[in-house]
Amino acid sequence: MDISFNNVTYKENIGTPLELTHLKNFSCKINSGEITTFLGDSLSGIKVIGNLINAIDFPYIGTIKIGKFQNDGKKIKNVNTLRMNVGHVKKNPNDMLFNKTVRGELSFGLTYFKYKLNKKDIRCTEALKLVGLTEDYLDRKINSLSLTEKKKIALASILIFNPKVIILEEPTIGVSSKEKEELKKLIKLLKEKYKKTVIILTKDTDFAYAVAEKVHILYKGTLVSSGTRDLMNDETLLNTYGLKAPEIVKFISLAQKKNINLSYTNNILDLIKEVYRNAK
Amino acid sequence: MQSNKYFGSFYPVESSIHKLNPIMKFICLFLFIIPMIGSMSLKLHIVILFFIFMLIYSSNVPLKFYLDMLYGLRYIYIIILFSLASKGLSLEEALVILIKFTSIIEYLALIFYTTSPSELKYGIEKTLSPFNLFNFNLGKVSNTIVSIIRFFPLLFTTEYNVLKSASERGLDYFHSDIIARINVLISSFKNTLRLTLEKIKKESFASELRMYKITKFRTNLRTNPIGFLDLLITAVHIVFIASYVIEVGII
Repeated sequence: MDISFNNVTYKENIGTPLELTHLKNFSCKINSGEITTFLGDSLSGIKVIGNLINAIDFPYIGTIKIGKFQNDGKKIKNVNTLRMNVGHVKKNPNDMLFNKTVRGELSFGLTYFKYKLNKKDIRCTEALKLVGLTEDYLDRKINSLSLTEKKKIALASILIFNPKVIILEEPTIGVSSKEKEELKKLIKLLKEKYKKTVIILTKDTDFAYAVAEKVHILYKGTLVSSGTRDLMNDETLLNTYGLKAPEIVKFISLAQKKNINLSYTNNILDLIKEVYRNAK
Repeated sequence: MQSNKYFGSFYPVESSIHKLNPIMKFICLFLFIIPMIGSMSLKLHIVILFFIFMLIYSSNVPLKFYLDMLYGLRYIYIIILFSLASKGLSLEEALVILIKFTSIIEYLALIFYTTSPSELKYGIEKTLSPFNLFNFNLGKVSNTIVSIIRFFPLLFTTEYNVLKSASERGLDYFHSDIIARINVLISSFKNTLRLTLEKIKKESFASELRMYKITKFRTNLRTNPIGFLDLLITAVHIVFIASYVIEVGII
């Protein structure tokens, strides 16, 4: 499912003193089956991309094409078909979870999309396993969960209805380094085994460097740079737009400045091997 | 595109009304209630309504926020009109009652849009402070009043989040017709209410953590000092009361 933004401008609180422009003449294309990352700070406008793709919000100007659907401010027929194909995991799980129990939360999508209703319990358990939780969680109350557990439940509540596109908004906030590694593995699994399109909206450049194939950098609502992951090898570019260079890139750049020839890689083990070879 | 136009929510902009002292705002509110309850003079009510709209204009909160609120209450206006007609009231009396209703709604909206929750709590507590003589637990009273006021904006914000989440998972609100929307609202209301009550409870805990002891008097909040505009607005309110007193013939 290809997605394209065509000259999209998105504003909030229009005509009031609190008017805020999130996106300005924003155009870009997201290819099916790729891991695409949108990088930017909190005022860059990346946070509205998920809602625009999912047709929860409407653009002020421009259109967003999501497969055969088009979000241009008009009502979309069969919007549930679009929503079933696009799963959006929000930054704050508390904005997503509204049912009393984990079971209710997970099966909500299945009930209303009328998807595999006869296999509700099996799918709930499978979704929980996919995010690293056990089926004991099914009858737990959402209130009793920690933020990380809520984040996992939010992700499971999307994965359960098997969307083609998965949007992850700031997936690494409040997550431990071990859980970050698990998330990286899960994203790679979703792409390689299940052929999903994954869109990551984040400012965590370390995480993005490890998983992204395509990178778009936004600054104050404008797309300033697009390319492959190699774009993130440019420390100056990232710093200009308020982003921190990935630690691995910083290390390689430092080595290169000291005439140690290391090539850019996003795998720490490959880097260690190369350092070892150079030392020899 | 969510906006802050929900009754009881604070609208954070710079204005002369935002800079008024919260205690004086509440004293003015009490003074405002007197002619609203007692007077039946059409002229006085028109002047009061004009004065409120002048304050609204100075508040820098978009006028459409106030007008949207009246639009939201359109069915209540129709009900009031019918009940007044059935009682056989004259046109002037009916007009006075409608202006009274509008003035009260807009005056309250003005206070809530221009006073932050902590100032609101402080203002209510300090204004009610004479009742300390009777050993009332004013902290608890003002906390409850603010919780009630905060309930509606929180309910709307929570409802909006629930609707967005539910829409993303098959229970669409934003692309539906009116009947489907009513159905969605009914199905989501139980969860919205539960979440709102939880949030109110959390806010109450949070204010206690910030040294808001409901069993004791509160430490002073550093807020806007009383200025010339506070005194001027209070004086205008006193003029309204004086006009009412002359109207009923006390003087």
